[in-house]
Amino acid sequence: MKTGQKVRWAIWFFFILLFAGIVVLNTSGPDAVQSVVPETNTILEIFNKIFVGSLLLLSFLLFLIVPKTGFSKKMRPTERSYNLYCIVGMICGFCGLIATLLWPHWIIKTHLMWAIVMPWVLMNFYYATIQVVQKSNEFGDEKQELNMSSAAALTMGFTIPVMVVIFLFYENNILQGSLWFPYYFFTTIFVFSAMTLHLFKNE
Amino acid sequence: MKLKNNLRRCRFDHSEISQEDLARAVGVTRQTILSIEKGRFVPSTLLALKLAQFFGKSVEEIFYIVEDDNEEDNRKKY
Repeated sequence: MKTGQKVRWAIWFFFILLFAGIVVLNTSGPDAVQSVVPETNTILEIFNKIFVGSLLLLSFLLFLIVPKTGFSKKMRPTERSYNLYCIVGMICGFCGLIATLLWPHWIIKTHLMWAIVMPWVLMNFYYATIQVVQKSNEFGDEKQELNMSSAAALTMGFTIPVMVVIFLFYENNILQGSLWFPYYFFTTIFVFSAMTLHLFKNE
Repeated sequence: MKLKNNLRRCRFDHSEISQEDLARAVGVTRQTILSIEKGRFVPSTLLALKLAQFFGKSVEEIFYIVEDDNEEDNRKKY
């Protein structure tokens, strides 16, 4: 199966998942989820805090140290790293959406959402380090940058109706609290990464 | 108007250099070279000049403009 087809399948799967989530929330409501899942999990919360904190600290230290070492000469943006960046973004966004649907009361309180998004954050640190090493603000070559700009515009167009749907959920008390944020956050990451990869491979 | 190119021919004339090697030589990805060859991506002036420089040709020898059929019809109308 070609990458373009895989991306199209992933986008379709995302829509099906979103639709399934809407149906589940409409039929069961947030109270049903709350009764199954405990509100907080201290162990998971502590683990996620340590996991996210240590990874961020390590990434920041590497960001400061790596440009001064010989290893930095080997670092450059390649087609493979760009593809990986998009795929990691798609996986993080997708897993985040599933986690938000399955454990809506854990996702924020236990910092699970930050743990899920960490691989994508690390990829951003990697690219930021490359930019420091190469003393440029370019993310890739001109086509990659153009594709990212187009994907960003398309993502904005896509996330507006998603936000309208989330707003309607709040209006009808289907969603409560700060759940709009992980939904918006993971949808944006998923759509942006998928669109970027799709445009890069097919345009 | 559409921008077409002889990039593929230039590659074959230039010891059949691969897209990968050409991409590395001009500092872009293989996917970018592929898109230019297929006419899906219009390169910047800088990249066009780099490609021309690499093959030792002028930009016009590699890139050229063709009239769109619809555009031609529209012109005839007016």
